[in-house]
Amino acid sequence: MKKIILLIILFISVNIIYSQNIPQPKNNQLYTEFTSTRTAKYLKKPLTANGFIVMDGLNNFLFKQTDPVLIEIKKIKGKITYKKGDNDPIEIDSKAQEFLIIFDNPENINKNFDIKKEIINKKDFYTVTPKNGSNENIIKILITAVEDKIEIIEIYFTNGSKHTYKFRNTVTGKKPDEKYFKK
Amino acid sequence: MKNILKNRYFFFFIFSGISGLLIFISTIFINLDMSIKSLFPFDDKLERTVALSELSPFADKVIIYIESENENELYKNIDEIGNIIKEYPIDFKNTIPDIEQIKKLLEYSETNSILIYPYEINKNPFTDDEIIKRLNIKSEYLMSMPFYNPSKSFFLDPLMMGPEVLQIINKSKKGKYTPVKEGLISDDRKAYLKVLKCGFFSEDYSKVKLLVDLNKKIEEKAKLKNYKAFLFSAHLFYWESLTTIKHDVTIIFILTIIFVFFIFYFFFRKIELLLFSFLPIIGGFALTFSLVAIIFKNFGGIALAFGATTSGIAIDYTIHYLTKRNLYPDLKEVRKKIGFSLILGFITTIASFIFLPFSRIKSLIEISVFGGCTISFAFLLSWFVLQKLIPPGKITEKTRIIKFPIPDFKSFLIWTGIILASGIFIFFIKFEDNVFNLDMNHKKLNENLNIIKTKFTESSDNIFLAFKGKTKDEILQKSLNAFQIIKRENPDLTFFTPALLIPPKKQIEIRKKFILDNFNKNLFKRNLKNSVFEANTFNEWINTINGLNNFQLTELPDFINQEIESMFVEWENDKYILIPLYEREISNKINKILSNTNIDYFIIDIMKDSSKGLLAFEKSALILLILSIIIIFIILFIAYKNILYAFTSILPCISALLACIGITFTTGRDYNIMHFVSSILLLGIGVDYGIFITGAFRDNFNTEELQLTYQSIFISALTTIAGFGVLALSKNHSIFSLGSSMFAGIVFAFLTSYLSLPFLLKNRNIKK
Repeated sequence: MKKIILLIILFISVNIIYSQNIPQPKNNQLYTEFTSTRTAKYLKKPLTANGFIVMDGLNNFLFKQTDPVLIEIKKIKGKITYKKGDNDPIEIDSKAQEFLIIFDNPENINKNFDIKKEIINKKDFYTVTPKNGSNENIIKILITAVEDKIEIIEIYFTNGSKHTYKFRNTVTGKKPDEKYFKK
Repeated sequence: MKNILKNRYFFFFIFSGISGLLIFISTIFINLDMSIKSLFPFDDKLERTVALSELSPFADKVIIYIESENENELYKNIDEIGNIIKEYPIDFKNTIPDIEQIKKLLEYSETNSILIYPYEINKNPFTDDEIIKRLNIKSEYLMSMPFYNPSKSFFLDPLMMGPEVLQIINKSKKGKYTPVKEGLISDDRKAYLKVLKCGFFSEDYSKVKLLVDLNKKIEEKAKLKNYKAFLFSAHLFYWESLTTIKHDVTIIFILTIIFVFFIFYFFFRKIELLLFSFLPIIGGFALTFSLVAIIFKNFGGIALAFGATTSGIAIDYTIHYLTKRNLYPDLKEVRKKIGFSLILGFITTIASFIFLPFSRIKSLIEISVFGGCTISFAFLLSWFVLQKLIPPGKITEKTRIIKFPIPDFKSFLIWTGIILASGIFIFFIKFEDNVFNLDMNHKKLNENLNIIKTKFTESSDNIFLAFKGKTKDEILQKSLNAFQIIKRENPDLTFFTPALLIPPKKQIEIRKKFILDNFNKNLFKRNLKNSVFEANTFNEWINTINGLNNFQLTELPDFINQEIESMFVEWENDKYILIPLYEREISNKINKILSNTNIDYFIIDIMKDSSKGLLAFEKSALILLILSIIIIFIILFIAYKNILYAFTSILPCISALLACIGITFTTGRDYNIMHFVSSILLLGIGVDYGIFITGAFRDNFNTEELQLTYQSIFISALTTIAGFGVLALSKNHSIFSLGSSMFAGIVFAFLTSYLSLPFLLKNRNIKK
């Protein structure tokens, strides 16, 4: 039994590796639906929202929250726009939307974040922490993934709030419909 | 001196050499002022307009415009042009804030929302309905920012008053707080505009040259890649005017000299005579240039262009002398015969220049100085040097003689017909009310301006809403009062006053009272209970209200603070704030509303401010002209002691004035300052012709003397036309106006002198 426990510990410790990359969907092609939950001490109860994310290469990305407030964050050919409801889209900086770092070029992520990977029960657990001074808002980001499919993202903010994204119906490696990236 | 004059050639070379050297040295010390501002008739209001415009935050504004076939191409091209600009040694500062700067401004607005919210014009946020609505908006805001982690300022603005203030400011700044690539994108997503400050003004030509080169590079690059890109700024207008005037003046100067030489040689047919006859002009220019270099630091390009043409007048005295000198045995006899007419002609010409300084227009004062000095020096040199250098009989030439037919009654009738016909144009006279019409036509730059205007509201129009006061606080209060009135009258109309972010003290006290009177803590707490937020979320904000009397605004973010500081200017011990209005239409609407109030404000718009003064000036100029005619008439009457002689002497210049007015109509222009200048000159020149013809009849000249008098006037007219007529070739509208009206005026003055005066004076002699 001791040997087995030792082997398990060894197995776990062997699999704690400092990965260079967080999971990238195959061919950077992705369709996934999400439910987000925001918990914070200033909120009576968590705020939840639903939507989906579509990705076709690093430069074509759509984050669409369908309820309770309709918003669209689009990255088309590198240009990021934000649109709320029926308003005109406005161009934004990627820095203004922390979440997008997850879907950024791995090289850019590694510039600003340290990534640690653990594998437990065939699931990959990533701990993403900002390098010194690179982000004053985020303490850490925890990512749970199976191969190239992310299941959960938890963002821990410095003011004690937490933002969780749970993903479902995820499809990777398949070219998404072009309609998502039309203007 | 006599010995020197004996060796004419030695004297000629020494004199020419010294004169040339003086002109060369003087030009080094004279700074040319090429702006059209020198054409403004200054009154106190316009003086303030010009001074404040020069101090305005937009005086060094440079616009970058890029237009492509589609949005994707546009983004690529923005980067491409951006790289060219980065490599250039001009320290541009963007006037459109970046995301980080806007974030800081949002934080400022939230933190200080309690005092910067305009309770006077916006809804009371403390009513039951408003609190419910605003708390919902606050939670919706949180939900619409999926990855947003609220900062401290978020909790200092539960009622979303800060973002509302920012919305007002963004609207007043034409969306500059929602930038794309540090600039603005047009609605059709095909055009991009970025507004920069270059740190130097339009007349800093050494630096403007860099801007011109950069624009050239940008245009070339865009052309090569099949898209449109250019820089646009007031600097480029100034530069184009400068280079055009410089080019035109050079060409005009050369052409004038060539034409005058040619005319001179055609009639006198002796190079030697031609060389000596130019001594008074060269000397006149040399002495005038030296005087200008000593007295003036800056001298107008327009006055200099005019100065080049005075050679056409200055040579008249030489022509009259040379034409007739060999008719008489010695200099004494020549002076006895024509000296009176020469001196009287000189006095009346100078008399017409003397009135120009009364206009108080810089250009006209300079023209008066330059013209008056050149003609005076040339006359004196002609009288004291030339006449002694080549006295009668010294150089014999075979002057080409033109046999002028003796004018008769028929000629007089023809002349009467011409005068009556041109007199009709008086009824069509229109006065120029736009000072910019005196500048050249900046075809390409105006096209670029129209391109920008069709896509954006940005323009080069420096139109400002201005408030004056002894302190910034006083000025801010005035601007805020105006803002409140405008908003109440027309909510869509707006302008950016810094008082929206830094309210004046008095307003802060009013707002504090409003908050204390209207804010109900229990009502807020009750509504907060029904919201998504915890009960203690906004306690710090509530504490702020509880200690409102001690609440102080935090410091403005640097970028907006700098922008606001640049809006405040000082002039003549008063402080002003200049608020850009971007469009004349907005300025008109604002003016219409504010003019019915007791708000102490004014609008700065050079075009409009100058037009009133311009029209007033042009009308008073006509009175000045009539006054000049009367003065010259009095001089003539005193000199001749005969009213008919005085009348016939002045008749050519009156007909020349009619022609001057007529030419404004036929060239499709309105009567402007330059037409007035030529009118004054035509008075002086026209009266010379009248004096010579009148003198010929008064002194009973024989046929040969009379013929030579006609000829001397004819040569004078030709040289004057050579001097002024070539000005009509200039692209600069003011120089063109001067040239075309002088041309028409001189032709009419000659026709009057030749066709009508002999008839009128002959009859007088018969009666006598």
